[in-house]
Amino acid sequence: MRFDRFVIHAVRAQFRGIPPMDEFVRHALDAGVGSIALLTLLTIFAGMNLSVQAYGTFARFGGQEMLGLFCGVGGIRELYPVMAAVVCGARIGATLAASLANMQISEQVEALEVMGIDPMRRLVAPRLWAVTLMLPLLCAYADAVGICASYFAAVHQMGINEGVFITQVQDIVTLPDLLAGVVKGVIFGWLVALVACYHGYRAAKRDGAEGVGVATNRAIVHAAVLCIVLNMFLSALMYA
Amino acid sequence: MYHRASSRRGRYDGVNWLLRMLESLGAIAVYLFAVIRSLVTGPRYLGETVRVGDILVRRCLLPVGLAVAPVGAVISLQGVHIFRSFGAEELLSSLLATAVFREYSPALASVMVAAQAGSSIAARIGTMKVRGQIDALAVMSIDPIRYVVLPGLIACAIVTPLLNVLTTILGLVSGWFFAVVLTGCDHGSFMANLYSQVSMVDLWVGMGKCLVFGTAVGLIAGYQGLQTTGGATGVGKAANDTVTFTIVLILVGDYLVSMLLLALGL
Amino acid sequence: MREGFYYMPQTVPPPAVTFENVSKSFGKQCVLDGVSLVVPKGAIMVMLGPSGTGKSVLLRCLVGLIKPDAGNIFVCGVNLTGLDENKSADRTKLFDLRRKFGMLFQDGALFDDMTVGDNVAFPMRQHTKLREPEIRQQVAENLERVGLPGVEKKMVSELSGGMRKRAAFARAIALRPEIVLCDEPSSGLDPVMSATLDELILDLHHKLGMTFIVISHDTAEARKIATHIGLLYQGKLQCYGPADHILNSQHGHIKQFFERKTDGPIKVL
Repeated sequence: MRFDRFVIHAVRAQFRGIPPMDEFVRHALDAGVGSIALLTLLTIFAGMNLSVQAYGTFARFGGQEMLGLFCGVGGIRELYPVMAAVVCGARIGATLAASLANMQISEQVEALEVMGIDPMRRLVAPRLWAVTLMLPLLCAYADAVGICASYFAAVHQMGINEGVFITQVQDIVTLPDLLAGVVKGVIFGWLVALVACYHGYRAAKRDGAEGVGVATNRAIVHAAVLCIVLNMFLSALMYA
Repeated sequence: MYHRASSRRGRYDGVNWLLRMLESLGAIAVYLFAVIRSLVTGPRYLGETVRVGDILVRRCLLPVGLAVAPVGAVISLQGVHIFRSFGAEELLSSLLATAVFREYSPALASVMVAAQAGSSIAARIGTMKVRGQIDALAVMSIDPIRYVVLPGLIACAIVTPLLNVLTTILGLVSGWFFAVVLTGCDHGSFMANLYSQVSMVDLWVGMGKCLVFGTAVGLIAGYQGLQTTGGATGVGKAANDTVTFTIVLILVGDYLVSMLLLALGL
Repeated sequence: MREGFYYMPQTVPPPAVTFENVSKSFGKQCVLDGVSLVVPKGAIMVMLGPSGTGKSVLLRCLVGLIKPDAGNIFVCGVNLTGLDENKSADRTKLFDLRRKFGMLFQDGALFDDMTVGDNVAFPMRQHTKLREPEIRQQVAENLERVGLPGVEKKMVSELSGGMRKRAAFARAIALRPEIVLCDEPSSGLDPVMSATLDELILDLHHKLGMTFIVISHDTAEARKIATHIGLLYQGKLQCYGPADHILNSQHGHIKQFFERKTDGPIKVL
């Protein structure tokens, strides 16, 4: 099935009425709660790293005092939403693709069709909704954790004045910035889920376990690249 | 060889968890030992290594390139705003170069290699495991670690620094494009300041990071692949877990290296 | 009349399934070539043939998962191939036709994110308006019928191969379909388990009067349960008819297949 036809079917299934609630809740919890631990860990390190790197770089210009500005802009506008999207998106996408591919190769999708159930409505639509709604929340969460981590590293490890840091962050980060991060999350979430479901759905029975591996691999790579490239275009659109 | 003792669900779940942790640590230790031994002694399957490396380069080139170019662009985009407001526009190129060389190029090259190569190697080895091909190799007196894991490991370790070179160039080019062509920075001052803050240390640190991270990708992918159980679902899980662990490792390691370098005054 | 084909009398109730000159190719490979057969209501039809010769494709054409390139398929008198998936009226007809079937897939195809009980209850929950207690009771009844009492709470991965097939059977008959399709039910099972499954088919056929279409390459199974036997080889239906005629036939393909000989018209690729 080609990608464009898959998208048409999937979108039709997604927006034609409410998807099965039990499937939706299951996938939403899986995507959200399952990613929180990993996201927290990674965002903390990324946030601290951002401060350290920025300090090291700016120290060469004598511009250490700009750290708050840089962490605010670089972090909230770019780093944390994209990192949440790439890391969580890759993981969530892999899980979606693997589960769909597994269902394809063990004929469960065909069983649904034979029982008169549309697999797109039952399998794909809940997954799309779950990830589209969960990823922006994860991005917002990453923003919060990341900026705290940057603050911690800047103030307690680099010795920046905390008042200066906080004021700079508050000055440079506006509500539109935060909302932009959430909007990015929605777009990334929807596209990552779409691509992942496409790869999973395409797995053929005769490929067996290898089909699952290939689907997972493709979902991970495409999700990651998609988020990074799309982010560039979205940022150009929003900030240029 | 890599069988795991089954754990029964009993009343002592805490102890169970501890035992499984210890089992995992033991399995990892055995695995690392086997890998080191295979590195040091022969026979080596160089043909296989070259083949895997070739596939790796071809598969990773596009994702890595596509991942890094936007980063350079975004740094320019956001940096221009800040620097213009300070009237320090010419500092943009040195910020770009430092960020790309020290941080984003090695990190992103490693992360994309982890995503592409890590998951595909883990999936391939995992599929071989669930289909019984690993056991078949053992029965034919071929050490699976030597034949399957080591080529992937060496290929990853070599390819990641090479890709780093590519990504650095791409990052700089796309940053230049966004700064000079799109937002109208001055080309002359951009180029003049580009390498003003970058030193050889940054280059070596970047390559070193990539070497270490690449090796980690190969190691973790091999381990996860060999430990796959549970049929086709297990293969997906192995690929997923490889990418997760490697990304965690890369980000944590990156942070530690940054702190270290800062402490050393570099 | 061609050799190997036996005259099918005009049955008074419309036959369960009729294939009329059905053909299907995938690329250059011709999987079904002018297959014509009639399965009377209440029969147990076993379709034999070497592996990979399109028996599964036959089954999938029957449920509308695959559309044949040529020919007609009639299910209980309704022309299945004439239905167009893009027309909503036809989709309802297709849906109704699918409700007449229950299908047992080769590996069971149970949903592994649900318990066994939920799996068997699935068709009832989706297509009927029965209340939960009734559904649970019917699930328990179905599972007992297939010899798996009390496994409702287990997950699919906890069952053995034979148990999984029987649970899938319970799901297939959940809505009391008129026609049950079985894709290689005894593949991968030991002789005792295969015999159990065969007994199950006979039992359900006797008690509930369902029509069975079984794809198999197990000749013992065919001998035991079939009322009608067919042989598919290289896309063509080599012979077809009532079981006692086929089993006593001197037809080359049948003889080679049933006597397990390597020399004969059936060639290994």
